[in-house]
Amino acid sequence: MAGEGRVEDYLALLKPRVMSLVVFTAFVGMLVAPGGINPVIGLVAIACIAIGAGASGALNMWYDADIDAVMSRTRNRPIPAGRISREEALAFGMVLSVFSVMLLGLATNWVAGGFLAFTIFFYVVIYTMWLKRSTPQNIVIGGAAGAFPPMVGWAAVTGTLSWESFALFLIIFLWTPPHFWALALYKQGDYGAAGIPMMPNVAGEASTKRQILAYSVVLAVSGLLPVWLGMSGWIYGAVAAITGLSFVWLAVRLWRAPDGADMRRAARALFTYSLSYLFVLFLGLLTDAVALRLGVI
Amino acid sequence: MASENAARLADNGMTPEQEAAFRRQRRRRSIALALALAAFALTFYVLTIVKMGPALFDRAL
Repeated sequence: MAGEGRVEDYLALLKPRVMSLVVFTAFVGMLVAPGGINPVIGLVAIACIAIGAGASGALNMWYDADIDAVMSRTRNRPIPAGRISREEALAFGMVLSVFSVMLLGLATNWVAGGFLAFTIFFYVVIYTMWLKRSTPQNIVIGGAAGAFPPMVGWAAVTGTLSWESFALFLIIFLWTPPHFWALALYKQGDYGAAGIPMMPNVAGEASTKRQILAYSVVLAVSGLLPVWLGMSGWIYGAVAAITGLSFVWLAVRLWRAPDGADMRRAARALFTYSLSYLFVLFLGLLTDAVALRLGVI
Repeated sequence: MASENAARLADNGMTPEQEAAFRRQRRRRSIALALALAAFALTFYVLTIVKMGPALFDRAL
């Protein structure tokens, strides 16, 4: 029955795990941006970006309730489980979207506010409503939505978008396909049952593994862009080189793994590693930026 | 037994236990909403002070 949703169910609509990654990458974007921001305004900006990301999650769950009900990973989400109605999720997501964009615009500047609005639009309309169900390139292009937060953080500080902020975008953008395709390789039955055209279901496992490897190589190289652009120093450079090489190594292992249980194990290993890869990479950026500001390096 | 259960159903189709749980959830949601609104108002207040800075108090009385 509608109206039975617990507070926890509404929090689950915000996809807190995705939100934590968004908060972290946006925070790093703010910290590596040249110039400074009042700590209180910075805190409000981070909260707005987090709520905007949560609102996108709620709108995504509103639209995807039918396919979420089919997949084992998502069937216990609040809407398919019947604890929150689709209308409630839609209203919740819309209200939070408007509030987060308006507050970010007022607190920082309208480049950041406008870009947050565009990010929400991109994730909900371009990815969720359009690409997700129509093309195996869904997460390649849709991944851009998850890559925008550090640019929003950067814009909150500088009021502009620059090549340096684009480098942060590019890292997350290129990370998304190998991350999700590795997941799809060992969960492909789920996506197939839900009728989502993920790469393994459409192009086959061999092609997916080749594409994962190709993206991993480009990702490892792109990971070094902040060093080349002079945004960060040797601490980040070392982290990016080591973690990038490890990423490629796991992608090679997956590429060479025979089909069946070995392949699923290798895919799972790459998926798990890819989660920590992005976290460690941005932690490297953060460490570098803090060390630079403190005059340690 | 069946008639006993039917008698326990309130007008809204819920047993007293279900209705109590429903009211508890609604109360928790209301408190969460009140806290969110209070946080929003406080954020606006603090932002105004921070953005206007000391100039806010620098005026003739």
